[in-house]
Amino acid sequence: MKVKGKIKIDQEYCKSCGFCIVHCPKQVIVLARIYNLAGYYPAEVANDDCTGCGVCGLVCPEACIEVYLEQP
Amino acid sequence: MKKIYGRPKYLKPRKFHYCAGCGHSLVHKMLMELVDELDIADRVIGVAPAGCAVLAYDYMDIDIVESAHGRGPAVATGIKRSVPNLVVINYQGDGDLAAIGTAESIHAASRGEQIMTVFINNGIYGMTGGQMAPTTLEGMRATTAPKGRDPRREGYPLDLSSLLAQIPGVVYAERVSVSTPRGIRQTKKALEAGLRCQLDGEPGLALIEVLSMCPTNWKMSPLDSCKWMDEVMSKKFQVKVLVDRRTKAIKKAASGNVD
Amino acid sequence: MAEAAIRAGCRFYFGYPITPQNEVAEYMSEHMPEAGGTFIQAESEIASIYMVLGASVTGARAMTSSSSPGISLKQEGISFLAGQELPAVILNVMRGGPGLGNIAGCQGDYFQATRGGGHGDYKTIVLAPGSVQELVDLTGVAFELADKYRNPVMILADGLIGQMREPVVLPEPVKHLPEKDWALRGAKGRPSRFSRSLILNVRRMEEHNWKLQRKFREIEANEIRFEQYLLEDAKLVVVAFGSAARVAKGAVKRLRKEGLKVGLFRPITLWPFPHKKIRELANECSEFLVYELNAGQMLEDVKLALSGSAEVFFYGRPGGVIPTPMDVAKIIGSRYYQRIKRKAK
Repeated sequence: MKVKGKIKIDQEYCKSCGFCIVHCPKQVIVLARIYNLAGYYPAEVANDDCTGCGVCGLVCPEACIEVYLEQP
Repeated sequence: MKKIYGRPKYLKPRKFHYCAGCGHSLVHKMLMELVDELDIADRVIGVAPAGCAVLAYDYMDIDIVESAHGRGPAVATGIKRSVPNLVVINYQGDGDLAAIGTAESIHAASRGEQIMTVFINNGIYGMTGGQMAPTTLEGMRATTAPKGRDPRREGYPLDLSSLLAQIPGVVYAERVSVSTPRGIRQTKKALEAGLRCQLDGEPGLALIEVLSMCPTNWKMSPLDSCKWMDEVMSKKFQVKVLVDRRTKAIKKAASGNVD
Repeated sequence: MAEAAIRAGCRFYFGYPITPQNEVAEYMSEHMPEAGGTFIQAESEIASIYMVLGASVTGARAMTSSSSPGISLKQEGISFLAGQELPAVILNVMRGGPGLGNIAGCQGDYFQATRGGGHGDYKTIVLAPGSVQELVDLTGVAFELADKYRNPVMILADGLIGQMREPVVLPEPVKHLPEKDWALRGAKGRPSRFSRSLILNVRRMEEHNWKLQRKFREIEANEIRFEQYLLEDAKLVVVAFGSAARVAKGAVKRLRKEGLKVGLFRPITLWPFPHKKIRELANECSEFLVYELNAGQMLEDVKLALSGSAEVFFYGRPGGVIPTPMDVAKIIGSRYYQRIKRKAK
């Protein structure tokens, strides 16, 4: 069975450094096309391939990613 | 769905003032995760440096005292000697620890003060605008070394952590980097080991040097700075345990906890 | 002094050797641990003042001591203590200057001590003892004032008092220290706190400055100390502080025996300076003589206080020269004859 995960990004905190995007093994995250109040194009979730591995949260310098995992 | 990762409890709900891709906030985040995991929020005290991290008290929800540039180890000494059961985190940058505060760093180590020094090394003066730091690499450009650091003119980069590791008062010294997920995990382990030195009553100073990105002053994108750190900076400042003088029984117990 | 500090509840002493005040550190190294305190010989004066800052921020009573060149190094930390509103006691046993100068008694640091000394708009309370006994007594006062106002206090002694041996009566040890609801000892059962002096918002920084200034006005209103000696009918007032005042007292005594109506006014707090009292003295007497072991520093405060309402004559000996009461009596006497006897004729 496929492991199902989900992430939540607080886009106002994001500074579009791109760390989560390059480290995500499933290419779940992309940069949004609409900028936030600080003028950055924040990270956003592009698809539902997330496995809840948590790497994006780990590398996020702004501590603005929450990772959820579906309980079996 | 169960939340498995999020903002640590002791990080205040405030946006960091650090630039995009800065390593400071990663270290702040890990320290606050550890404060929660080790359950030491009621007896931890931070010493904030002069530099970008001077506003650490805006983010870390623990008792924090600000120190003048380079004087962190002396302030931490006063605190630790005054209330020995406090866990003291002395947070410093490279100019702070290895230039203006060299004497304080070396003598706190030689007295074997039971504090943890977190040494953020980004090879540059961040807050003042990218001037040359003692740790600036050969050939690296800085606003006060516009042609790049030439040892004949600006001297050699200083590896103070390796010098400090030779002092018997240092019980644990490790250099880590926050440029990759693996490095970040290792950094957290190192910080935990450093904090545990105080919890276990190890008789000396713990030094964790964190190689950290400064994309703004390196004039690179956040991703390029990570790459540059892996390919260039960590060649000069090698990521490894510099010294481990923790007493054996405790070392064993700690490694059991860490891994 | 060292024993008095321990009895005043001081448990942390951090210092760096410098003549002429090494006896304090030596005494502390032996007796501080006996009292359950900590003595550290730091790597520099700068480190020692920051160790004081570290101990102070946890609410403990801490002190350091040094002499002129060392105090210059400590000024950075004293500014931080004032900015972060932390109590501390600093003993300065002044020596000859500028530069390395010499190790004789001198009062050349008056400006540095009373004007704040380091960077920024702040003041330290400055106490100037005139004898070893008073040094002991003022040590207790210094710790009380530092805690009361959360401000650094400097005891400004000089090489003469620093090297003098006199019998003293020591105070009873302090039993209860004040509670400090601002101290940082880990956020146990309360929200976290921080202690800082960096305030980037200019309006808040201004407000912080005004808050400090209000505190300084309060100190000026409540904490002025001075000694008056034979001033009732004096036609000439000698103003001197510290060991200069002690010499001047001998001179005044001598001149009184000869029938000269001279008196001595001795400020004990150099900041806050007893401006008002000196101004009042000018109502009765129009001749002042300022005597200092420097080239004229307190002189400016006396002149400011008098603002032209009386004549001020200055006699000073910088560089560590300490005239005898006889020498000073000659100076005072000749001034007296010039100004007062001549007028009387």
